[in-house]
Amino acid sequence: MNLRTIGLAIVCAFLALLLSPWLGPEPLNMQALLHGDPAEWNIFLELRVSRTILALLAGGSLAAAGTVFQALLRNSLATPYTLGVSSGAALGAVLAICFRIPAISLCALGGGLAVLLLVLRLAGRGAPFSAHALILAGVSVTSVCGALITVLHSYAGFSQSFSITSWLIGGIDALSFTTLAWFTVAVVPVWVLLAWYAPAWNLLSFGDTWAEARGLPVKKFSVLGYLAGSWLAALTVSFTGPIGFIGLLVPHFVREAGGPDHRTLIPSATLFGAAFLAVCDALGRTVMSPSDIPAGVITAIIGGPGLVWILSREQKGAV
Amino acid sequence: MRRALTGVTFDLHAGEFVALLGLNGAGKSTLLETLAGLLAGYGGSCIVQEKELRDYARRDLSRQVSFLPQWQFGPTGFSVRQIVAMGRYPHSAGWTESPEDQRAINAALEACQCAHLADRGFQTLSGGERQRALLASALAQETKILALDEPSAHADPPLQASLFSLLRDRASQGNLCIAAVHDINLAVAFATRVILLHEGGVVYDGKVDELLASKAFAAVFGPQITVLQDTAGRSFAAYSQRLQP
Repeated sequence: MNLRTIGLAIVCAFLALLLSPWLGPEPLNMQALLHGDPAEWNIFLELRVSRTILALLAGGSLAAAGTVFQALLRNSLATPYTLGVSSGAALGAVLAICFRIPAISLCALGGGLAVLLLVLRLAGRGAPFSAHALILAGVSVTSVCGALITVLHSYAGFSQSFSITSWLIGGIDALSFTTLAWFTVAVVPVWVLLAWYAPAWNLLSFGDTWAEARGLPVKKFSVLGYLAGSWLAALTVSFTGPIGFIGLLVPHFVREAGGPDHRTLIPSATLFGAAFLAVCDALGRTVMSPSDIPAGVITAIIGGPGLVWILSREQKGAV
Repeated sequence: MRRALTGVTFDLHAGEFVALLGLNGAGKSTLLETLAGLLAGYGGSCIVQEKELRDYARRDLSRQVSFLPQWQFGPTGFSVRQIVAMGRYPHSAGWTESPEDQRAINAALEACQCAHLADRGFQTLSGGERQRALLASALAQETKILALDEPSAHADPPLQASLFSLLRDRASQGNLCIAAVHDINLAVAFATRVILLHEGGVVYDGKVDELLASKAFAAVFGPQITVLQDTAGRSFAAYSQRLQP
């Protein structure tokens, strides 16, 4: 276990929580805040702090889910979306937008979980939950959902089309503190659960035979990991839309820094992922101020080159 | 679905070092995986320590039987010590290593002569070093039964002798070692008993000394393998082709 990496991750997440609310298109008026100006406090709490908390929760959830999926699927390119949860959530959200159902997040969550159940059922028909079958089922369902979204998008009206595009880019919006409290209750215990079972993910990252021979009930833990990771991904996507690269990139970075032991990897990736998305969101609302660039765009701009850098490092290491 | 093993019946006892011999596809790995509880779909009965194998909880069985698989691959970055520590999962499964875990890990590293490799990355090791690390992980499990699939794979001849000597010592201390082996002479030199599998069935089960002279051995390995004797009168297997002028 690498305590230094975990410590650094805690510091980064804490700094992101402290500093991110102060960044935005307009600097906050400290004098007004200190004198209790309700308008300024409203901007600070309802817009900045709320967004920061959502970014921290979403980033942490995507990174934790990505880490577990990479261990279970034994594929370093696995993401929280590999099983099609994101595309299911997107289809749910697009259906809600097209048919003017107000509960977009709820529909997205329902879509994501429905796709997860479908993928698990499809992949469980042969050898139960083999990584190959899950990836294949996930890719197939993602393709079908993508096609359906395209059809719905092409028949949508102008305003609906704009809403669909905005949702599909993925971004952080201010949420009420009640919603954030529910979100926290729904994801933080799952982070703890995933971290608690870190020794199990270590064994599973070596393969089912290795894990089973060392006394791990493989099927039970595989289902637990897939359900927990998908729950985090589906819930996050239902609030933020599909934000890419965090679940792929952050586990790679942390593995480079702190090693592959999931006792380090799960807590560190979760905290670094939280900090990373909070920073991306803060950058998005400041770099082209007053325009607000969605966090999904920033993560993709950073994530693409970042992934190439990691791949080149891994190739150098292999030589 | 093809049956890998049919009508296989035998008893194994503490103190034995059993070499499983046979051609590729004879059923050696299937037999070991069944014994390790990794293949639940077997017919008949497989009893370990007076209890049917399929009635064991996974963790309880892993306290009785440790298994060394054939492959040598895994995610990059894990150190040898971390891999050996995974053998302690059936006993602890916690986040931290207890003093008992540390003692077992260090003992296993020492026994497999890889204490000096403890902090090295597993992927940076040679094939033989990896094999030692994987065997150490199986030893760290501290079970009475060791089921090993080609434990000497990738090892050079001195290391093969060293590993098999270690396994024979384990057996003599009251443990049961059963290993799939391709090197006939290695099996003859170190094992206390040989089971020869052919096309999913047992064709020889008995003393090592009598194996090379048995009809079953000739039927399975001849005419490619010839039995010769050294100057001390000990039998050994040699490739028939090598003997031709």
